[in-house]
Amino acid sequence: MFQLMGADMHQIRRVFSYLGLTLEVTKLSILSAMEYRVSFLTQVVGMIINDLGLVLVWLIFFQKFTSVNGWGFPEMALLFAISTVNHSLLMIFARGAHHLGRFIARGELDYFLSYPKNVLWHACVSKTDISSIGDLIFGLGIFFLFGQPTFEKFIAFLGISIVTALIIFNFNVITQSLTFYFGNFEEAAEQMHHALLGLALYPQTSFYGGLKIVTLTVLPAFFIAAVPVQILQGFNLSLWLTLLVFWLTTSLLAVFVFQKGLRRYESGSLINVHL
Amino acid sequence: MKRSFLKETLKYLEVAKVNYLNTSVYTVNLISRSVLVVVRIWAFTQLYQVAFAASRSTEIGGLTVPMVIWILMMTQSFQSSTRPHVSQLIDEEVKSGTLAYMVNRPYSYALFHYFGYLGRTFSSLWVNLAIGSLVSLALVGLIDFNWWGLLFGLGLLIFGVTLNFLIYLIIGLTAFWVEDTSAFTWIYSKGQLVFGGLILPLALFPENLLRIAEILPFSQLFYSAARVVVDFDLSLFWHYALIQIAWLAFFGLIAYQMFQRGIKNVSINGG
Amino acid sequence: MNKPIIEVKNLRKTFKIKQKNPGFFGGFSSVFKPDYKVVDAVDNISFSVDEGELLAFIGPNGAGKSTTIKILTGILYPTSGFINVLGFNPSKERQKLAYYIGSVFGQKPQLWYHLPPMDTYNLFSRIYEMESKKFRERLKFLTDTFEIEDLLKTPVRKLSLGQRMRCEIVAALLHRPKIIFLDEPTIGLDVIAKKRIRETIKYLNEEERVTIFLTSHDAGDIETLAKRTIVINQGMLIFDDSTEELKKNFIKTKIIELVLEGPTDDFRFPGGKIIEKSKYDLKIELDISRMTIEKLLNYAVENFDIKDINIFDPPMEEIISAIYQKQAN
Repeated sequence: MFQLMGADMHQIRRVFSYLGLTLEVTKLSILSAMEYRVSFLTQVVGMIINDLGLVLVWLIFFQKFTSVNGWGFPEMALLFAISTVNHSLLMIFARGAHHLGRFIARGELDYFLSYPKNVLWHACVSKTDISSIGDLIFGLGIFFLFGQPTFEKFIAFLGISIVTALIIFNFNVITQSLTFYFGNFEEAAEQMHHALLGLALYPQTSFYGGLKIVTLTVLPAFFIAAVPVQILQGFNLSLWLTLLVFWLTTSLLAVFVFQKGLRRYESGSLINVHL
Repeated sequence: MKRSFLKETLKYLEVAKVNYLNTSVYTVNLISRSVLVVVRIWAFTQLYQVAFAASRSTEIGGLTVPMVIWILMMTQSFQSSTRPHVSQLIDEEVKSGTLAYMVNRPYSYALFHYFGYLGRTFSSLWVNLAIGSLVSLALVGLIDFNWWGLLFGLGLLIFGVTLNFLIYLIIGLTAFWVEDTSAFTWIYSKGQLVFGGLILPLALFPENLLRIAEILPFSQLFYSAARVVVDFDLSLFWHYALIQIAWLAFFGLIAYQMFQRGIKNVSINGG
Repeated sequence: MNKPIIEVKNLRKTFKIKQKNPGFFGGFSSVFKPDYKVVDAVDNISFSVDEGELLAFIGPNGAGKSTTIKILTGILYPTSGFINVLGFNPSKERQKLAYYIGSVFGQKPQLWYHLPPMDTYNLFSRIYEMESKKFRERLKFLTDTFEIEDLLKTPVRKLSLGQRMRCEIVAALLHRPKIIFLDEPTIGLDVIAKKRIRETIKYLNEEERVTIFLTSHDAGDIETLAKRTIVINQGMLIFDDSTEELKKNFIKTKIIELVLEGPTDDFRFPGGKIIEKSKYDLKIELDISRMTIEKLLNYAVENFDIKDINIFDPPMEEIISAIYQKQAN
């Protein structure tokens, strides 16, 4: 019994140690970027302007069409708030997930494999997207402007953003890890990422039939867009559970696909063999 | 020595061909791009069917749902074909200093990039259009095409693709003066997203916004061509063509000026 | 001593290379029905390394050097064979092993490029879970030994190549590794920086008793540092003996390049073989067991005006073919 508790404590300490290191590495990345202040600011401000553009499209859209199966501009605003915040969390803390395919194809995992830490974790936290800080500011701004915020709602908003960020993270790990198996899958994984984000940014109520099945499976926009908006509009335990179960399932799948693929990792050696 | 016009042209066509072939090699990439276009068209079809039904109309701004879908299929296909952004390539060449010695090669720097860009664009354009058309056909059926529309639309497309190139060239050349050009690239691509008819065709805009959007360069890249193909109207063609020519002249001049000044910078710094 | 800390038996690693048909439809068919070619990168290698050894591991490009090192450090999974490093099986216990080994890859820096080395060192102390007091002591010791005190707060991008390499080596030593893998540590450095790096490597081995596994293209690195050398070629181990033995038996020649003021036509030196000759430029191969470089240079100085002199070791390929020849006899 005590032994069991001891093991649990050990696990918990491990998780915290990884979280601490994640913050440390991200801090170094941001400090690195701050060495070039002008560029840092252009990226952050550029991204905010970029996001405003997206909102503008839907403002114009809902001038002409008042609603899409019950979705209007308020729902879209919530959707933008969640999508920009979860995406920015992912890109600030784990942008490497988006580069896994490249790391794999170019043999750059070697670097992470030489440290006594989990490879997947290390590769993913190794990169930070500075412009995403702009996304984060924008998303929070939209939430406070259009989200009719209360304290409880804000906590729910943060919780949902983190869980959905982890779901997109899993999606990225799975698609990018296919590079282990197919050799050249980086661009395809990139396009799948865009396809997912694309689907997640349309009014979710318009999908039916085959496309609905797609958004529930291969490109799980339903879980990162439709469910979160619904939860924010009114607390719903079963939806929360749905979200958590989906997150857990994709996590297991992501770890499986990556670990299995790692055994086939060829490093840069293939390039050497060719010489 | 007199330069032969024919030889010059062949040289640039060769550049286009090499780029065309180089892009075609990456089959998985080409297919995955098209898959993205397919997913988008599918989503648009459902979105606009629902939205049109909700507003109880079959035609808005002169467009029916199938026309909207064909327009979006084309604008999405055109835009997705122009990747990777030329601005990125030029930006890298400016920063790495490659540009400095490329200008001494026996070709025009701008034309070299222009034809390379055309080659890459057309290698994925036809795949995108073929797959996109099949999907549109399956989703919303054929619309009333007009041969004149196709012909004049092609003309507008060539102008539009060129205009897109000039703007990317300018963004790339700003690297002479600015550390980081990627922010300009995003803002430009968001301009396309809002006013370029990539999600919402301009014809569905409120009247006064439509007037402004049509004059902006963003709508003249890919949307104007798609619009004329779907529903041919000679006066609309001339309207768009004139706007395009004006922008081409304007951006052409700016690009030329920037290039000249940038080169001077290079020879001072690199001397 | 004399306790093996690296043991490798019948190690094998094969790669499958996808063959691609040309053109658009060729690309299509290779997506659905790929053809593979199997390549043996490492082919049945066995060796062991004792604690405190300084071993050179050499061979031409693509011989399987880096594949072997990557398997020893757990980066790559072996196809078959037995491996034991410090009592661990690298492919199963990579993370545990990583606490005890360090690696420096000349072409793949570990230091954060835009930040001062100190930031990387702090991060490493956390990654290797070092106690902060022990970390500070260790860092003080290393900064003194490697004389990098003044460099700690300068962004890495502003350091010279030699300074950077010293800081890289410190990064690899912070956690007191028992084995260090050094891959091309002197690549791209000038003569003085090379000398300094070699001294530090020697110091590590002799004073700190660290086992060192060195790969290099630079014959100078190997001659001055390694007591034992392993040569591999096309994935197979073809030589494993003292460096002295290798030099005595297989590196018998030097190549001397002379650039003269005048024409080279009258250059006649009986003890050497002219292998390349242009108007002012000569390359002479010298068998150093029979003739000294000094004699050649004396002859040259007496009879010609010399503009430039270069001395080279014979290329790796030549050493390897000499080894094969010996084995055939």
